[in-house]
Amino acid sequence: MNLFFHNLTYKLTMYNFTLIKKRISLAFFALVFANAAFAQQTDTTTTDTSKYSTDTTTVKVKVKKLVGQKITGVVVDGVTNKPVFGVKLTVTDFSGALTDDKGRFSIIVPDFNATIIISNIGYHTKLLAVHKGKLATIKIYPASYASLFTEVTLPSGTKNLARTSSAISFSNPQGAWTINAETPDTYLQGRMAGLNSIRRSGTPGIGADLFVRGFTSLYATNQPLYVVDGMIYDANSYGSSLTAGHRNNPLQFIDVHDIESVSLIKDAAAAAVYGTKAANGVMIITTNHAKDLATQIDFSAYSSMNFVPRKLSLMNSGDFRTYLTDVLQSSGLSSGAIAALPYMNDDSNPITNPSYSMYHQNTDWQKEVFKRSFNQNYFLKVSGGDNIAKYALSAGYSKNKSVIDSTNNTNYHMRFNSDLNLTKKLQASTNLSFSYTEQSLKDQGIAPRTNPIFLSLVKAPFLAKNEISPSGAVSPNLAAADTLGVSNPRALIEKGLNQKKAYRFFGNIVFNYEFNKNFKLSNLTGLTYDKTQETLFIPRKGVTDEVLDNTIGDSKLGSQVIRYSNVFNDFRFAFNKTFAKDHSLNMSLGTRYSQNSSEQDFAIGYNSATDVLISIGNSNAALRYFGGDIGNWTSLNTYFTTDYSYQDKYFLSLALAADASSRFGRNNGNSAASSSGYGLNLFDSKTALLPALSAAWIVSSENFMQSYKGVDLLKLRMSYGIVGNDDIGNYNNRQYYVTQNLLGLQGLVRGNLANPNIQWERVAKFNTGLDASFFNERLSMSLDYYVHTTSKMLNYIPVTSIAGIDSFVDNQGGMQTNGFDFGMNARILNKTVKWDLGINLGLYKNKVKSLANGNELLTSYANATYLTRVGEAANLFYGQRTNGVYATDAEAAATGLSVVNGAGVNVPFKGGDMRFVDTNGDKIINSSDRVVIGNPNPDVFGSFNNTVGYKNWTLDVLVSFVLGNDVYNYTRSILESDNAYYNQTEIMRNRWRGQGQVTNVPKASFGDPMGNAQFSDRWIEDGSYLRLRSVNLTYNVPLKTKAIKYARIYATGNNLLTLTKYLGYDPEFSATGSIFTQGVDTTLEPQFRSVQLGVRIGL
Amino acid sequence: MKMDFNKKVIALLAVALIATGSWSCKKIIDEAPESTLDASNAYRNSTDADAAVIGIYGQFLTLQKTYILQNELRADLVSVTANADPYLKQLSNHSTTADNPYIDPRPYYKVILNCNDALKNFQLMRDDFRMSVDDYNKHYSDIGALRSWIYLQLGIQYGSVPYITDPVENVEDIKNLSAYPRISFEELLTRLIDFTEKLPYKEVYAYPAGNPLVITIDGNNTQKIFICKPFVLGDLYLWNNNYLKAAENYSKILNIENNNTNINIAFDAYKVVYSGGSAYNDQAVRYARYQDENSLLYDQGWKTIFSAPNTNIVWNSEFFWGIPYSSSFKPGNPMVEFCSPLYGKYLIKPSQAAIDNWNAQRQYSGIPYDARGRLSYEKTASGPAITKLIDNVIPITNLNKGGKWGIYRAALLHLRFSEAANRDGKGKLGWALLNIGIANTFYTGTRSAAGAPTPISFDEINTMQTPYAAPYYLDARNNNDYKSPWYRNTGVRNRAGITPLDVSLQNDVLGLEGKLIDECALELAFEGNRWPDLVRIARRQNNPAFLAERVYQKLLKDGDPNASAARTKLLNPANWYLPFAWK
Repeated sequence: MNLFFHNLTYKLTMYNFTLIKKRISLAFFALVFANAAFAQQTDTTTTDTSKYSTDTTTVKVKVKKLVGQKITGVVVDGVTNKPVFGVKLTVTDFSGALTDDKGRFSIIVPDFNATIIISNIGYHTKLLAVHKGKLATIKIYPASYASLFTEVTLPSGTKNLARTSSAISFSNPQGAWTINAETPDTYLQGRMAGLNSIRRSGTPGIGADLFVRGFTSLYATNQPLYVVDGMIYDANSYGSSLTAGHRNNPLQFIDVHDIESVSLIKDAAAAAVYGTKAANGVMIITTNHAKDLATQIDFSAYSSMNFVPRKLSLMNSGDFRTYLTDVLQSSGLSSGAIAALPYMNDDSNPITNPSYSMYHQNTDWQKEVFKRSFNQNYFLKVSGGDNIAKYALSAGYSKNKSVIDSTNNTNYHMRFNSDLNLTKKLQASTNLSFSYTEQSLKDQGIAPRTNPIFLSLVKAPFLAKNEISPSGAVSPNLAAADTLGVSNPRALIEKGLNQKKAYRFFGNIVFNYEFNKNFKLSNLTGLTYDKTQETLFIPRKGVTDEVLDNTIGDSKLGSQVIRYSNVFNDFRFAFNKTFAKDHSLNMSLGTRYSQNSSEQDFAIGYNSATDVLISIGNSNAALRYFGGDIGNWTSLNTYFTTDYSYQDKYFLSLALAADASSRFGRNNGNSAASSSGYGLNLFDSKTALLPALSAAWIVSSENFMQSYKGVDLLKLRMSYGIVGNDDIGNYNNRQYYVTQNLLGLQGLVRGNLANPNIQWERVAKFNTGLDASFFNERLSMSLDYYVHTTSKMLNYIPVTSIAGIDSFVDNQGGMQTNGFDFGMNARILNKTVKWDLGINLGLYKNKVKSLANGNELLTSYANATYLTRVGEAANLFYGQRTNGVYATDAEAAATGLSVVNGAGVNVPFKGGDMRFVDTNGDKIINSSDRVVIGNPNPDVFGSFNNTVGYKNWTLDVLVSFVLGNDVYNYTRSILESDNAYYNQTEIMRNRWRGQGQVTNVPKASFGDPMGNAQFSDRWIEDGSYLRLRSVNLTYNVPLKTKAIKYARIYATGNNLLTLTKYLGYDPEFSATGSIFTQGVDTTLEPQFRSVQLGVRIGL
Repeated sequence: MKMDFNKKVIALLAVALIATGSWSCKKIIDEAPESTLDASNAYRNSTDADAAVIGIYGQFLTLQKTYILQNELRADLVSVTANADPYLKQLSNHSTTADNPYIDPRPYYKVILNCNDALKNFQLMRDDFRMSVDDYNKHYSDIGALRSWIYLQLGIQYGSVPYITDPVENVEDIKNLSAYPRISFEELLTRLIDFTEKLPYKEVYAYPAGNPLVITIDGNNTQKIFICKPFVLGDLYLWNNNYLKAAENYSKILNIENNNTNINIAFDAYKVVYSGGSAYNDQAVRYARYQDENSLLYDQGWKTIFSAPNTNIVWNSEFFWGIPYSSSFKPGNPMVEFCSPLYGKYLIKPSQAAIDNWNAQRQYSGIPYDARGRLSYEKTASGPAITKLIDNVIPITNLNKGGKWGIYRAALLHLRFSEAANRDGKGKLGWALLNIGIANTFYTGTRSAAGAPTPISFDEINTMQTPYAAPYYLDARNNNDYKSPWYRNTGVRNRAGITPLDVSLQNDVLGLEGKLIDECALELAFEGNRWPDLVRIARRQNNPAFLAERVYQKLLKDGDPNASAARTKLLNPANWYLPFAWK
């Protein structure tokens, strides 16, 4: 609100500025107060005369003579084709009617341009344009049916999807009763067109990375903004987990069973009110509120079983021993010396060779790590109330185990939502939730000493998990880390500890005050408080030592606390009026204030006395170190929206956001710097001004469409707007100092180069699309084409040597993403057997338009290099191209190719080395021969969804797929590296072993002097997959008793079948949220199959 | 009742709104960092000034790697091993390409940025009385001199460089940098002398005892961690061929401890003394048994100059600027990685030329080489390995990367002072400090049968001092009753047990100058002085061959195919300087 006064006066001097601002705002609020008081006065005088009771739901209907056209018809249920009784038909601000027991109605409409709203509890609200003459039979569908007439929640309130001008995908989980062990982000996989939800791994609760229509940024976030019950839900994970490869997922604090609806705004139009937070779409989630006054109790219980993933085929003891011999030989060891190694000694006499038993096992290590496990889930929901207060209360408990032995995730959820009618004009509602989770984890990803999955793959199969005596007796003690330098994964599973406890309180209180029919004022105040506490212990026994700067770390202990808190306020005026019956206007003006702080504090220690003393206090005091980070940021987002419609056919919306943030630059007064960013200088800092405009035309409401009876809805939409991304770092706009030690003394040095120009990334979004529904909603579809253009994209700008600082962050790049979304739903069979088919498709093409310095940006992750180059898609795999293996030395010599080793000496290739392609023709294989060898972005992604109903049975089948993406199999690059003491895949039995051997697997060579295992197309695989995500069978038990309203039994199979050519465990994973790590399989916990049985009872 | 409630709600709402509205809008979107120090909270008091100094020296420590590699590898005493990467090889044989990471001036400017920032803020602090003038003088002078030292290095390495003295504060300042002028080495020297000479506090020790910055922490004393300003000035004058001013500054250090009440410090500190059989003056090359080369002492005598902790008297008598490394704190000694075959990568080694230099000397005892070689490097299975840079009382391992970066020490001071004196017509004094000490050189009186001075008159005693005015006046008079400050002075070569050079050099300016530089190769090898020494003399004598020939000999003996190309290249003084890349 204050913004506008600033706007008027910002040219004045600062002193006057503040003074005037204060006075004006004081005067303004006094005015508001007076107005409110006056409204209250008039309100009370009128209510006084009309004998009002506390029953605020009583509606006083004025009987008025209606002048218009009479319309009659019949309303039937689209599923059963039976007439529906009591359906409410209204013409806004004009007339209303109810259907009789035959479903018949008769209603007066003002003219043939009117729209009738047909609504009934449990059904989608349908909007139909009136055409001359008798209306055909109106079919309405239950809320569970995928309809374009669904009510979606948008920032400005609920709206019928058929009347929106923005690109919106929606999902109504309806309690998601068939599902458990899902978080909202994974639940959404395959349920929205244009949303690519990539599950991070198989770990319960780990969630997914969501990419809405690809990505818009290189360094800032690419995740959508979550708005839960009107309040921004911060789904970022702050700080990094002590558990390698793990990410805290705040979305797991939302129980999917509590979700009423999810709508995703993909374009700029409806999202623009979230200004600089809306760059990647806005996901609006609402949770359950009581719909009925009657008390309703839902209880469900599930249990499920998780299956061990398909194992990778690795070498057995015999093959591995041969391989090891080759590697040892290549490291320069003589065959005599190799034969003398304890694990090579085949003398089975325990007297002469006491370690024979120890080194002559055949262990399937994967079997030691992956175990079948069971889950349990309980959920209770109670809702009801009276006409003053309604409540919805829910509680959930789940214990989801995972397939890595001894890992699990225990959740407790609690939610209390209420709606209160405080007075006739003042309503309040609360959305309060508290969730707590306790997780037992293991290191994953790139953690070669401590990732049990990785260890189970690379550990020598001739070793055993327990100590074995010379006589072959197996001790209960676990075996120590082996002589080849590989930890015992069982030691990590049994003695290691990666414990995480986290909770989040997320709650808000909303007050709505209606001055009168047209004016409304509402205020939402909310609070988020989140805390994560972690404990880490890596045991000494069984795990290889860690080499620290000045000592050897045997055991490792850690403790960490991460907090996040947020205070949020959203205050708005809404105005809504219909003028001259055809012109409808909705306006709102509001301001959101958000104050955030995050803090991470950790302590890491080493070398406790025994593996039983595992808390940080028991570590060696001299080796302990501490660290952490604190971040504070605030933002003030002022927004204005106008929705205008004419004759309910033509829609025009304008949205405007003005965002100020503590993160933006402070280059005040320098108009040259700010005008380029559509920004203003207010409050001593840059303010983003972000407009969006959208329009829709309901073609089906036009008279000329009257004859096309099959068309229920045909709507054309177009929008253009600008949104921003404020994930630009908290303090890049300020100059600060960081600590620098001199021996044990701490001093300060310059930490950065302040960038007073830093601003939000600017994303201009153009969208055009159509929504159509045919044959009484038997077929509906949406198609969208979009162009997202990012400018002012964040980049690290290298600085000249003489500045003394390496780089700074600035808005100097640009990229563009365009593509299509397509969503379709059809009821194919609608007789005794009902069959619904849903299809979601998304495809995008990304192109980098400009980068800060030069045309290329190389980033690296997991031994791989990514190339981001102007004119091509961002983050492409960039490595060597290979073409088999040299069969003979002569063949290698003939090519004249060589590598330059670390000392600058040319070393020619020999037989058994990889045949790398010398792309630049200089006869030397080095980094300048790298080419683009893959693209982790998919060509198409989407899903098929089938629902088949027959009597009391319902079958749901969800298939998700991704096509045309490339995956870098880092795990395989280790398992086929051919250069270390790690166990290898069975393929490696075909390694090159002698002159003339034609194979595609290079020779074993310790340390890989020729770079045979370097990042190349050998490790790039097609990541396409088609997955039977879930299959669910529901049986609705017919009940005679009145005590129980209903009972349903669910049988669900998750992830039952995956069709893919991918050679690793699973083609779907996301190591981090950064796009520079997409498509890399870093040995994360794979997704596993599970089957589940559940029961739900309604009381 | 109901109305009241409504009114209350509205009133509450309105009050809340007014409260919200009157928040200062500037304030509500203003957040200062908490885990780093916002500029608005920095430099509030003298403790903050101390923190700035500590931070700068902490960062300065990272310059050792660049300093040693650029100054030694490019000169004649250090060669690369077979393990060295191509870039190090380029540095060694003068064929650097522009992408060579060892020639990036960035590390120097990183410290300069912080110096500039601190200097500017110190001035602001003094102006608003956040810091006393006395504190200001010391802090400002310390950091100012350090910056001059860094710029001198830049000048030596790159010739002409941009002389930036203002801090870069935000990205707007970067734009101005691209137009920053580069000034010639000559002009740089003039500017540096002007700036350094004007510093308000130019004492030998940056902070006197009792200053909060002078403490003992983690087994190290901080007093000599800070730069010795007269030496920087002396060097600047010497580079500028202003010998008297150079000598004046050097002599300030030579005589700084003359009046110390601890006579061992007064007589030993920075005076290059003979071994007096006590821990105070144990800096000479010593043998357990004279003439038995196998009895060379490694844990006593000359080598302990480098290995002793900086709280030890031996170290303190020799060094007046050096920064220790500790295994408990980052960074560890970076030279372990370069020098040690056992605990590092063994990338550099003493050149054959350096080894030959030592082998060409002869000790009094008849041992036919200079033992300082054996005390500066060791022979390992991989080849000769430099030990001087990683000497430490606690043996270096791959986990203990202690040691010190010793920068200024007495022998260096004596050789530089001699160089100035020689050029200023005091060749005899230069010869004395190089060879056998003041008393031995200037004494003309009665000697005992064994040759020891036994003065029989005041006149004879009075010949034990230099017959010059300050700064060349050094008093070494001594008999049984009277000891003057310089009586223990013995000369650099004498301390190493090496026979003196011919006295005719006392009157041969160029000859002695060459010998002084040759002595540097023996005494100061690997310490980072070699390239500047060669450039300074070649520049002064206008004799590129002085430098080119020595580098050529190194490369020739190493069998480097680029030897003659390097020689040709270095005969052109323009090629002495590294390309200065404005990346």
